[in-house]
Amino acid sequence: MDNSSLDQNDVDIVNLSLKDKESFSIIIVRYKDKLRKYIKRLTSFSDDSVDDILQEIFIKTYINLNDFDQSLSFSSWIYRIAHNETINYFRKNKKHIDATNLINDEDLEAFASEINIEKEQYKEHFNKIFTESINELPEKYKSVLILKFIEGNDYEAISDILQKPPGTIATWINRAKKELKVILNKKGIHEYE
Amino acid sequence: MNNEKIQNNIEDKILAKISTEHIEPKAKWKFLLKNSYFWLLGLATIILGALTIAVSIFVFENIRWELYKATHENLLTFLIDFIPYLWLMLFLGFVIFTQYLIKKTKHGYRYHLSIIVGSILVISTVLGIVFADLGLGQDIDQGLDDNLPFYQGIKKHNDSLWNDPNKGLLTGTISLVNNDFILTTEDNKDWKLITNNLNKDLVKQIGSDGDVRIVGVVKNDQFYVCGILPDFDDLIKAPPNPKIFFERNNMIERSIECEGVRPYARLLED
Repeated sequence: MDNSSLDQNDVDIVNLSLKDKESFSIIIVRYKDKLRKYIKRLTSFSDDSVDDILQEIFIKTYINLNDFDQSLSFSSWIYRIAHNETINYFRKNKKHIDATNLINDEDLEAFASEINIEKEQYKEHFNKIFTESINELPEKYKSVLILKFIEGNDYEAISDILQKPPGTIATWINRAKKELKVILNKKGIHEYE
Repeated sequence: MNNEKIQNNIEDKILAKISTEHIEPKAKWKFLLKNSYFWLLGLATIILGALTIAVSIFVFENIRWELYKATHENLLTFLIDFIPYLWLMLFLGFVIFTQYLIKKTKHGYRYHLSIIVGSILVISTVLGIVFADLGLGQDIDQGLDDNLPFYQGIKKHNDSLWNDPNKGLLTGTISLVNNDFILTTEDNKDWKLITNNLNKDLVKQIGSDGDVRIVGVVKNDQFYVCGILPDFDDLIKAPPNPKIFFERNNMIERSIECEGVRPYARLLED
């Protein structure tokens, strides 16, 4: 893998990978950390399980390279595969799909401000309470919140990842925020006026 | 540390797996075929749905609303009796299946259910109107009536309600035998008609045009006619209100025998 390959965009790398499988390693290098974080934010799987899922995601991506629709961003497409594989793994193995504490303080602050939770209200164990509250949300609400506020995707991208209409995504995000606020209120964390 | 090592090696592990297990990307045509399959099947179910609409339109066009008072208590009971449940249920099934197929296409997820269902309803209805106009609704209804013993087409259903002399209703074809009008029913039973003061030339004319519908009363194994209505096609040319048709064409018998005949009295109501 030379440095010029690393500068190429995802679509070029996909086309290259179809001719030369070695080029697929650029995709893996480019996305392995992002996807690892995403899986860990979505679940409480062990590192071994996350590696198994990650391997399945990239193998599935490689098999389906010809199905990649260039009207979407490659990132949305591979996140879609990652999301579906994670949910499938969870269903197959009946594991508990908790969010972990893998949300850093900076992301958490940004997320909290999005739902009008003031920094001054942070308590000692705010991070723990916040992630616990996210865990209490239904799976679809938890996914949209993580994709929007932690992964930083826009509605269009989340729509492509979760394969739901953008309007539905907007509704889910609103409902998820409302439900999260209710749960946080019960735990003593309140919204500012 | 260990986790970092695994992470560093994951691309090698995946590439090794791809090589050793001879994993290849699936051919593009397989994905195109899959996507086309959902679109083509969706198109087929839209056409089938439109055909059910065409039959429903044919049924509603041939329901003979203007005569509901002769056979039913009110318009509601008449509608309940004539709603083409089978076709509407089939249509609903096709709509559900079509939206499922469209959701399965590559970009189907982007559209809200209401937009997909709304589009299916509009396209099916427009196509259904075109198919009905081409006569496909009639062909299907009559074709099934002829070939399936358990299926009753709209004409047969309507006729069956009018083939009830004890309730004062008769339908069939009229012929003139030895100066007597004879009505032959669908089940080949002959009724001699007593037409007294009716316009006999018109009885002869509408009798020769097709099936007639008669309200009257059984009297000594003959049918005492209180009013005659022509076949549907003729009635379209005539006023849709049977009372106006009776009165304008002198096709009504205002004798004492007719006063107690329920369908007769109902058709003369304002």
